[in-house]
Amino acid sequence: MCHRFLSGVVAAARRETERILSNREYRAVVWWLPLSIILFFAIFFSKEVVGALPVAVVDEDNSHLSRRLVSMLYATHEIADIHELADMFVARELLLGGEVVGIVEIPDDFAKNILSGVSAEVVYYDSGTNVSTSSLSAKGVQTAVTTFGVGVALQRAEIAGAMPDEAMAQAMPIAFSTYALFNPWLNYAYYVAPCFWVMILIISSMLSTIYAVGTELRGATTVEWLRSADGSLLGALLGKLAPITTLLWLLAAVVGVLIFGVYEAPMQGRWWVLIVGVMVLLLAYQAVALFFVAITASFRLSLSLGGGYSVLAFTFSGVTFPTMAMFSAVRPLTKLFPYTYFMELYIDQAVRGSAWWLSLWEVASMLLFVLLPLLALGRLRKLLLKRKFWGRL
Amino acid sequence: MRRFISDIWRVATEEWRSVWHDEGVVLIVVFALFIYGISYSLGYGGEVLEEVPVAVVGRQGGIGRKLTRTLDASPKIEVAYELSDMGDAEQLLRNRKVWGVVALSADLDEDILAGRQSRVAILGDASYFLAYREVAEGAVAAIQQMNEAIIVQRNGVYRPPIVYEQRNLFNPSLGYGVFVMPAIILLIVQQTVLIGVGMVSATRRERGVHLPSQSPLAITVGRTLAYLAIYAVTLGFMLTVHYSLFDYPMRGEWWQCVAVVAPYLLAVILLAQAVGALFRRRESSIVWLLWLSIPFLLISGVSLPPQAFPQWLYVLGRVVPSSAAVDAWIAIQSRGASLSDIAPQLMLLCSLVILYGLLALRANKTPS
Repeated sequence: MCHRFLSGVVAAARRETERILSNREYRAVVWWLPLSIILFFAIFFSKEVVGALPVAVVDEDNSHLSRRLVSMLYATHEIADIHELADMFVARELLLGGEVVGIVEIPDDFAKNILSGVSAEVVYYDSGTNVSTSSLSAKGVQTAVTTFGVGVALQRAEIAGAMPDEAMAQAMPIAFSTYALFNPWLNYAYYVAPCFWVMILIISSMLSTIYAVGTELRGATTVEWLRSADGSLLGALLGKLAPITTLLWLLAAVVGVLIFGVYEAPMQGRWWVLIVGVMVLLLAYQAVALFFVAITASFRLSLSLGGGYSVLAFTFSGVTFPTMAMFSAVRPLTKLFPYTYFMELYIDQAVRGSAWWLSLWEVASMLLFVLLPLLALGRLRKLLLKRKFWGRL
Repeated sequence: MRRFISDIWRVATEEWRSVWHDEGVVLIVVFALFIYGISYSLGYGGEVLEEVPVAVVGRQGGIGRKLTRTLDASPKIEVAYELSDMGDAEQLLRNRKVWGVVALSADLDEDILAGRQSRVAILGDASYFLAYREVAEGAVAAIQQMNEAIIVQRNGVYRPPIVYEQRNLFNPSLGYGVFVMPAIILLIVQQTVLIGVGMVSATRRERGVHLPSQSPLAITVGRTLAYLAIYAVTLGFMLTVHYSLFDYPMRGEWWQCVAVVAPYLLAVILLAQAVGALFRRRESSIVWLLWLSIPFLLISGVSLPPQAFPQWLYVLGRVVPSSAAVDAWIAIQSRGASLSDIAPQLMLLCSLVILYGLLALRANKTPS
């Protein structure tokens, strides 16, 4: 019995491999398309540091103090692309057109105020329409202005006769240093690129599995498929999925080589947890794909549904926009996507180097999704055997 | 001429009929924009991260207590735990109970009273960028506020050499949805047009049906009109009703908006006809095009700035209609720019309309 089952699985797998090899579109879905997009991301994220953002500086004072501040702005790596402009009106035009991301205004009484002991005001007008450039450029401007301000304060205190230490304590009683835990590089490629790569893996898992079953329904070849596995539904499913799963895991390996080999992202935790995690993740999306085919009984509709489900995972995972900032009614939805669990596992293992058992919960949650099609086995069998489900578009 | 116009009309109505008689196409061309638009808007609906939980380690004495209160009062962070041990703080971080730690020096009170400088370490969890930013900004602002209070107490006045201020002109609270949704809505339009038109084209080819005209020009114009009519309504709804519901910025005049959206829709619909000719089976367009949503978003330079990726990719990405359109749309609607500010993007969009128009003519010529 066991032997018969296994040879059925092997036969179904062999049949599926031939289907993949003989169908250009199938080969594209399961291999070439995801691989191309994965490589596209590799090029996209190949720049190691974010280039200097364009910022306008309007120096209305043009004194030697204000020039010193401007030179400090040039010295920051975030905003070294500086457009020095004569007046705010011209700067505003550039900001509206999107040629600069913000404007630093140094008022004309800048030096006068500093020299007479009054506070000078420096304003950074940021467009705010791009949250990522906003925080980067603001950080650059703030660093330059703060460094400049502390310098002046120290000079003042020393002129007044204070020792350097005392001067520091007077200007800033409590000093602070900020540390970026777990990702001290604050590097985009280490952080954002894996999120996108894993998205491609799950889209690929979803689409290729739906494609594999959907094309059988469409071509009315389900009975032939079932027969290849000696009539066993489970055998037919396992045999069909096996070659796809193998290719998906290979794609995941390519992504792993890119992240850790080419980009040299740090790996702080356990390899085996990450590897088990990604394998289960891809199985989970295959399982959801089967489930979608079963409940919709339609190739096209399950493609639409599965496509939407896999694409939306990014937003509802909290990787860019954190879960805790979401509406409280929306927050539970994040649990409906295996991607969410995997990204937590990835961050825990690769980025934070947490203990391996902290990730067991995520693996277990993803395994629940793998069980999903068991609920729909009866329905799947009906689909494969009843003529009325075949050949539908 | 009369013949030509009646051909256009017949093609348009036939295309319109093909859309509405096919539930798969209706789902993509009509409803997907609402489904995705609303889902994404809900996902980003919280807009800003507030009161991120942090732990304070090593609080002792009156000044430490006051600093803790100041930290807690910040809108960006909330002191969820007060601990004496860094090890406990690490556990909380790893279990995602806190997203940052503010570690006070043990001698904080003595140092301040003796006029020495004291040090505070702000540790933010950088495995989530947004959370890291809130923790760093919130804690720094609270410490600066505390410094001011100490200096005022000592000297009676606080007069720093420079008062620095940042004003976010067009997105005052730096909301996330305000940032990404304008781009996402336009991108959903592009994806649904490309996939939907591809589905209609391939279905027609599969069934061996032809449009009621021989003239490629009449076919192209007629099909374009059919989709323009649909998207004028659905996208119009998204950009007015949906926009107001979620409080997205609407700083442009209606005619400025039309000046951006009209050439964009034209370019996308024409491109979709050109691409649609490549598909043999009705499901093919989903299978081939679904992948492109993230690359299209990235290459537009809207989520990550163009300075973050290779310039040649950015330049190459300009052939995708959404790239120039999203730039122009955000300039007009989010920043309140004038048409002359976005002249380069409009020129590019118009060139794309011509380019894809020619390709669509070619695609509609080959007997389907």
